[in-house]
Amino acid sequence: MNKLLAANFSRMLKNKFLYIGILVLGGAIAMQLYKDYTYVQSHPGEIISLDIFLLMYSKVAIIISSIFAGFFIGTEYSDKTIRNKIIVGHTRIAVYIANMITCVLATLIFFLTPMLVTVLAGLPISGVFTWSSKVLIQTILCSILTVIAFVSIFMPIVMLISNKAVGTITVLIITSLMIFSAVEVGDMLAEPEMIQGVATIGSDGVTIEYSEEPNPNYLEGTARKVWQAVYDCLPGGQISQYGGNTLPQNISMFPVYSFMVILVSSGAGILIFRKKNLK
Amino acid sequence: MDYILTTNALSKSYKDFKALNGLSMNVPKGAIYGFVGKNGAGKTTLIRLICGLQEPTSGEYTLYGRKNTDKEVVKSRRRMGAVVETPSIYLDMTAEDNLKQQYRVLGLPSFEGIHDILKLVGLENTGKKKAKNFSLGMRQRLGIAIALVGNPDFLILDEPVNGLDPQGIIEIRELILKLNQEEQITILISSHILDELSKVSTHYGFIDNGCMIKEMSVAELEAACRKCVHIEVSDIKALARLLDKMKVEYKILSDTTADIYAKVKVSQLTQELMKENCEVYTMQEHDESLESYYISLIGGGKNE
Repeated sequence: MNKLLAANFSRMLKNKFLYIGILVLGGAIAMQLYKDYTYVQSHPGEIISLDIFLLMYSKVAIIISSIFAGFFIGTEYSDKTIRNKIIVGHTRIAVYIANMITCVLATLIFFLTPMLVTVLAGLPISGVFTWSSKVLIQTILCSILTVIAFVSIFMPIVMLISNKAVGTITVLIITSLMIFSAVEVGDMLAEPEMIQGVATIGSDGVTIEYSEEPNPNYLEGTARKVWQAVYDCLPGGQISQYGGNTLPQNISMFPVYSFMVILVSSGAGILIFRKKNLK
Repeated sequence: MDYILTTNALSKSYKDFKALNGLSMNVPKGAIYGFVGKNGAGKTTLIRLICGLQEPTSGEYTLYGRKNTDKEVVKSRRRMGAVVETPSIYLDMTAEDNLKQQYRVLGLPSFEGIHDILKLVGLENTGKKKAKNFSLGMRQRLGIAIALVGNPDFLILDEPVNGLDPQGIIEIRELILKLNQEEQITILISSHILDELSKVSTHYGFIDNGCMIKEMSVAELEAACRKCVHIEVSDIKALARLLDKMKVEYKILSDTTADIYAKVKVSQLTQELMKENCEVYTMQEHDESLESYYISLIGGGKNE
């Protein structure tokens, strides 16, 4: 396994896409910080709250990492070099896990780049963290697990589709769907229970009174529980819940859900990859 | 005899298609084993199975004494190198970087020997040129170089001269002979280019429709392909007496036919046989090449 990791890391560090991803994410967060800095300069009394920047580009980082994984693993198939590993006696489980660890590492690099830029560029321009250190650490650790869960979901796709282009496009579509459908579910769950109803003129003939009525789009009962569970369990839902002003309601369960996703998707991926006919 | 690879009733099916159908073969240590068969005969499928790229549907193989069902077979694989169909090389890397990558995959402690391997395959002067800019022959040689990393003593080459120009074919042939004779590497070469195989092989295995039709050494093949006169007569005993008297080597094939391994004077032989009341029905000169032997083995075009 160490040999495969050494070979993979060496190739990863030579991969231009890794550096392009780092530049895009780091550049984007630096631009946002600069925007906030110029705003604060013209609005005395305002502060730059750095917390919001930490996970601002987490979804973009995951999408970029899915493309990276598609290219990185796809090259093993298009150049047929995956055969060199099997022929010399590495087990398929070792090949799968080594590739997954490499993609996790690349994803963490993409994920942590905006955080690093936030700290390195944000603190010198008087940015401050308003969250408690406990909240910060809990959010970062849980989000790292969420990111690994994401990678564990797109690994079987890139490891089982031998065509580099098809694999990359498929994993990109599935990752995007996971993220954007989670945003939709988040919006559904965020619907208020009551909405503003009919406006009537008050008895004084001047004031306007609004009646409140139940929101037909508000999810309740079992449907709400099911959607909330889906939102909490899947990495797309988890990543959408980080970065707000408050901690996600069920954050304590997120690591458990992430571990379950990692176990199930990696287990299934390894089982199928062990039987895959390599050409 | 020591065998590096033996297969026993090995089969591989893809849905309804049987690519390998109970194939048994034996690759002796130190041999250059020519694996002969037309396109689609099952050569590459067998190689994929041996390399662990695919699992057999039934049957088994033994690599360095370890069965494919034995978990330890991966240790046997560490002693082999292979180029399956097209060379497995990173196209955006140089020849040297490709070899370094394989050194890492094998966990070798240093990059010592890289230049020797590159020199061996004639790629020592490729510098920073990336593999995607290599010619087909250069890529093939780089594929072989990667297979040679870790000093394997069994090398599998699947169609190594496919698509190469005449110069490239000669280079690969010389490399194969050098590896076998100087490095004592056992080599299994699959090919349908018989003329090329006949220049390097010490053993042959003929495969058709997923079955091994015949396995033989080059000496056995030479005997089978030996120049002879095939004769059909009315009295085989009379023919035998005459040939003994003439001190000519021959082989009785049936009650009426025999092969004579010498140049005979047809008129003299016929006259002598007539004196013994033996009639000559037919007489043909046979001079089989590997190609004609192969064709006769697989039954000409009937299998096409």
